[in-house]
Amino acid sequence: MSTRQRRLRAPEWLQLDNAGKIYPATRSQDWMAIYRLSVTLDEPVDRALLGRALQSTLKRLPTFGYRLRRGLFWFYLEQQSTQPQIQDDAANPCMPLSRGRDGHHMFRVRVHDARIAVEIFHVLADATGTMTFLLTLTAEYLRLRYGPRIPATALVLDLRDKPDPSEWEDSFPKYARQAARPRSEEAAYPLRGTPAERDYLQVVTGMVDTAALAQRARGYGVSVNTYLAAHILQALVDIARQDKSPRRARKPVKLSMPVNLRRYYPSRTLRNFSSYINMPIYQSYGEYTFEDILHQVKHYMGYETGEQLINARFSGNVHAEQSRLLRLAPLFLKSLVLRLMYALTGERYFTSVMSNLGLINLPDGMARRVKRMDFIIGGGRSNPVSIGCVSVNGHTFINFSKTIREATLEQRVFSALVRDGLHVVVESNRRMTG
Amino acid sequence: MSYCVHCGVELAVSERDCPLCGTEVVNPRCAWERPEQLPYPETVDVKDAHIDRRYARQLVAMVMAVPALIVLLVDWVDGGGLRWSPYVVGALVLIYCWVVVPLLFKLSRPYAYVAVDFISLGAYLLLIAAMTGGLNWFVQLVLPLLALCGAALSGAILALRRLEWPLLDRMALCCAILGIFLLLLEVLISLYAGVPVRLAWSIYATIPLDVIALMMLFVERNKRMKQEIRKRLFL
Repeated sequence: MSTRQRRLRAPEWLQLDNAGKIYPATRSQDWMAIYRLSVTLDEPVDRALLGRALQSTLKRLPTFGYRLRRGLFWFYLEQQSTQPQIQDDAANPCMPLSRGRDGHHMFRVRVHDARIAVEIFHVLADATGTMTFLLTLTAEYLRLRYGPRIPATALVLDLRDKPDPSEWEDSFPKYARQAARPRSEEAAYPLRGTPAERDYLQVVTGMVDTAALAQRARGYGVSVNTYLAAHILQALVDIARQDKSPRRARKPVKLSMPVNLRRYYPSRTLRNFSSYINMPIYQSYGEYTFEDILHQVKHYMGYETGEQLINARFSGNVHAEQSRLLRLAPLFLKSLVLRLMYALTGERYFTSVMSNLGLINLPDGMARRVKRMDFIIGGGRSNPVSIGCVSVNGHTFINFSKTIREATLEQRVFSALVRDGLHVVVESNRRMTG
Repeated sequence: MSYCVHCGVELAVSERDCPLCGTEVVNPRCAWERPEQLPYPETVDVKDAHIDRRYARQLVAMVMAVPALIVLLVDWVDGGGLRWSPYVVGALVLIYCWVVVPLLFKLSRPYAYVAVDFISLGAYLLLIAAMTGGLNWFVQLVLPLLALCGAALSGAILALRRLEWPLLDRMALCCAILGIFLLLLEVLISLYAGVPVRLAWSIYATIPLDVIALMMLFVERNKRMKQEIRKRLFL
């Protein structure tokens, strides 16, 4: 039997994956775990063509069109026949999905001039899955717009292929093992500030030349990811040292860094399949130079990203999900427990999050049309600043998204990059009047 | 192109001043002009409204009306009249006033909540008094007692909300209000019991309260003493 024959139609409904189970329980009208990936082309986007491209893309990647439903014991995803309308972009990205504006869809596609943005609820997919969706959508749009088909790659799927069950599998239980690590950690230093305007996620983007950034990182003998993480941690350490509350300042600053588990396992899933590492710096134990922090990040990340430790970390979550007691609890009770757990542990274990999608290699025909990409993480429920990075076509885009007015963290990070000899261009989503 | 002299970063053409530090960028050769296309549009997404209080109020009222109607019906069918069901219905109304009103109604002043609570409590006790033939007890003791409690609580709220007053002054006023409340309580109980009004236990409670209130007023006005106390009692 050939591979193509073995492929099935998309299922009527799907259980949420292991990582996705927490998000519906913790969402509210005010907050939802939303993030955004966008691609900026070299000319304004034709909405009608994009709508057609979205229709074809959803046929190839059907699980992105699913809606969230409430069962007796768990939330689940269900197929629906409608597709979201292309929306105008807004000044404030990553607002919670709204029944009135977005219907029952778990993502929205927005357009502003030459930019196509996908804002998505984390319950559907992680950033790698959504990147595949966005690039496949963009490739189809470019085909409709200019004619030639963009060759398929790992991140750009061929729409002539049929959907494959391995693309919507929950890979967590498949690769989890018996041994698990304890999930409790020391609470992290909480970043605080003056709350920004309600309903307004502030975004500050720094654009850096990727080759210069990589050269600078190589000069220190580390990767770009480690280099950027060290600068962010250095800035957080400086902020914590100036905190007037000694109780808060004693806590270590921690930067949470998601880890793509597809690097470790041969999974083809487009749903959530990532874990994280909370990188701590114990600033109350003494002075840290930038080199000290670089050294610590390099070795701590090297240790923590070993397959065995990564596996033990997500295996704990899989075991918790498989607990008979939890499975038998009705959904409202489960949601209460998950909400409480998230409030007590979720964001207390890190000060900020930095997710670096790395260098995105675009196929020929697409690379010359794409000017830019951005990755914006919606504001945390309690942690006010998140950082998303992505590199494409020789530029790295570092997006700080925040729910506080103060720009101390990004100011320190970008100034440090400038002092390191890098040329940084900054841009924001502030409203300019006059 | 313009650079921030403080942060050293180059500003994108859309930025009039530095988004990191707010420093205004003055480039005499190239004054800032609003570009035709900003990186983000002007329109702002608005989150869905918070809980629809009106809908929630109606929903809770309907949910509470169901058991109320059931008990009224059962009582009527079972005994041909209303014998015990008014207690249940009255209790449900009381719960609505004490729990739902503070959560789902937005009254402009806290005194309104106090009024709703005490009026509903008074009405429920009146119902009990009427059904048990104890109107005398209600008029002579419950009604003045409720009025006294309501007045004392409103007085305390009034004192605590005077934020421009020093904290110790506000606390002193609350102590004084509590002392007066206790004195009047004993007077009321004596009148109801039909014994001559002689203040006994309330005096023992009121005197220390008044002393504490006076001490607070004194300490608040004596800066050296306040400093001394702060010095010795700091945590």
